[in-house]
Amino acid sequence: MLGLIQKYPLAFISAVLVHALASVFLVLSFDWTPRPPLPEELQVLQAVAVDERQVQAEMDKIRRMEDRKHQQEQDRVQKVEEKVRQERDRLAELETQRKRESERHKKAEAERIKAEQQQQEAQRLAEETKRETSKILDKQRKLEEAQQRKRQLEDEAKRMEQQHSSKVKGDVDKYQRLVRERVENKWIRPVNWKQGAKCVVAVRVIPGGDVVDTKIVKSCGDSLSDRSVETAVHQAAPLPVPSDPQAFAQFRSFTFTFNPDEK
Amino acid sequence: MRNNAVMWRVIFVALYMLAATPAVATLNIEITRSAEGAARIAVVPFGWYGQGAAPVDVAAVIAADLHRSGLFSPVVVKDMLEKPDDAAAVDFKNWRVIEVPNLVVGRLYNVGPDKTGEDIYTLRFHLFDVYQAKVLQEMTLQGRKKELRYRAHQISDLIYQILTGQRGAFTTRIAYITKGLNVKGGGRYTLFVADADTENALPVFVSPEPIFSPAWAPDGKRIAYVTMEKRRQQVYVQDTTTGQRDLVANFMNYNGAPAWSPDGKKLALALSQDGNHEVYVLDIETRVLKRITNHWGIDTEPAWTPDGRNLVYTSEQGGSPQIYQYTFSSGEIKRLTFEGKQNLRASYSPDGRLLTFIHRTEDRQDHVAVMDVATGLVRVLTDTGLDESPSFAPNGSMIIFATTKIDERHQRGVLSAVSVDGRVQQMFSLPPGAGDVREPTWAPFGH
Repeated sequence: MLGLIQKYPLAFISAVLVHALASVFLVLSFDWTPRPPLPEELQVLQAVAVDERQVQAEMDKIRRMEDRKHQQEQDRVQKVEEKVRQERDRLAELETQRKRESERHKKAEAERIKAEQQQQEAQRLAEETKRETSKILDKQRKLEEAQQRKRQLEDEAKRMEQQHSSKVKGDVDKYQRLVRERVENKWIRPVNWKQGAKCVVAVRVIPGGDVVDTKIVKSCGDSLSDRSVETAVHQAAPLPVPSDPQAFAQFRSFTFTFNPDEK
Repeated sequence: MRNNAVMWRVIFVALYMLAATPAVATLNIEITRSAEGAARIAVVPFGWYGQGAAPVDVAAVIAADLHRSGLFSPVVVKDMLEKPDDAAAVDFKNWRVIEVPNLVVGRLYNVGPDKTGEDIYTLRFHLFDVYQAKVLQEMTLQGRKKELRYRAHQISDLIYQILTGQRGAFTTRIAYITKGLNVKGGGRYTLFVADADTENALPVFVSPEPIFSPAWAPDGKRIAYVTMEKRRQQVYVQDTTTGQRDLVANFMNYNGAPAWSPDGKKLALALSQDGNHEVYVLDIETRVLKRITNHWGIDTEPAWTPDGRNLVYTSEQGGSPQIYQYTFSSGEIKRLTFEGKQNLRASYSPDGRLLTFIHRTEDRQDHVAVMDVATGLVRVLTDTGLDESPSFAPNGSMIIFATTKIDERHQRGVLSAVSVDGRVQQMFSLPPGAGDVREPTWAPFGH
């Protein structure tokens, strides 16, 4: 309110004045409402006593005067009323203006507040998003780190595995050669060996190289040759097999291919 | 829907397992080098349970049989670390030490006389796989004294069969002709039938005149041969069990080179009744004679394919003796040999896949050769250079032939055998008085 007054002092003062004036007029108007004037009754009594015509003239004169007076009064009231009406209208107009102004102001204020709220909301959201994002980023980073660590560990494991497996492979290669030489030293190919014959013997071996079992998987083509290759494997026992369990695993069950014509 | 879900689950599990099970490549070791040789076998002298000396050295007979096959190398007795005669007494370590994978032990018992008063013997043997420490064969046989060698050959056949997967031919017989001197200094020709190891040789026919071309009938009992007893060649068939002789070919001029058809009903012959040596087929029962060849050159030495559909023979129609084949159904004649100076005396292996003949090289050496019938590839088998009359063993593993042995400024024919791949060749040692040995022929499997 105070703000409003400050903002529109002229309008306010004029409004006050108008109101005050209106109130004065209203009071006066009440005072001026036609009350039968006492002296006229007295005059009527006198007139009876005096000349009738004179009285009548007087009375007419008075009546005219009164009429005029009344008329003037009437005009004046009318004018005042008109003025009041005008003033009221103006006031109303002002009020409407004020209201409009106030509404506009309110609206602007609301909008401002709304905008402010929106901004705040936006800011909040932005912050929240930022927080979330950083949280996510953090998580992601941690995940990446974990993965990286995992990869490193895996690489390490793989390297160790490779180192071991290459050692195992080396062992397997080496003992494979030793076993081959040993069996080749023992094998006496029978004289009826069929040119181009090729046969496969499956062997089961226990740690230490003892041959548990041999089996002809693919025949050399005749019994004597089949027996010669099985005999060669048994004669070669114990086979020189690796002691490393992983390398030995390869020798637990394997095959020999006898292929003397392959050069 | 449910089934679908189950199916998918099954597929998933299967795929997972497939992915989870790495394909494990089995280690394989390639053996490309070896020594080559006959398989070692120990035939321990059989224990003898009876009075006096053992009637037969069974182990020696078996060892000799296996050795002669060329596939086995018997361990000499003095190298044996133990001499068990029973399965329970065998210690495999003693055989592994000397690297002998095959072991035969056995016993010979005299179980006493039968009703006729003749002693009966029992032979018991075990064949072991030394490295796998298991019995491959065990058997008990019985026989009279004179049957014991045959029983030993039967054991050889069994051992051979088990170790090689091929039927042994040690119980089969051979026939051959010897030329010696009679007491008066004249010629003495004998047709012998003997065990495959040349033991138990029995004369089937003896003549002061030459005997040629013995040929076993498919029944393994009858033998056809050519004699000069009537001063010209005639073909006889003799039953070796009864001794009965029948003159089957006595045509004009030359009658020779009999060869039995696989069904035993016909004889292919070389005859010169038409003035020239030609090949004929004689139906023994009906006496119907059919001429096969017709050429001015000599056609002789017929032999049948095992299916009886073709004849091979030696012909000089190309200038030098070469081997030709006649097909009965078409009458077609095809030359089979092209290499060398000459090729003659052909005969088929029992399975019909190989043809053996005498191949004369450019430097005039006569060798036993075989031709792979399918490919036509010829392989010379022998080192000896004066070979003649090759004849397949009934199991097709060896070829017996005669060759000329030259020593101390005189030469004589001896028997020899070679494995069909030519890797093993050995001489048979006949007793010194046996004279000149010719034309061995290996009998078919007995009944």
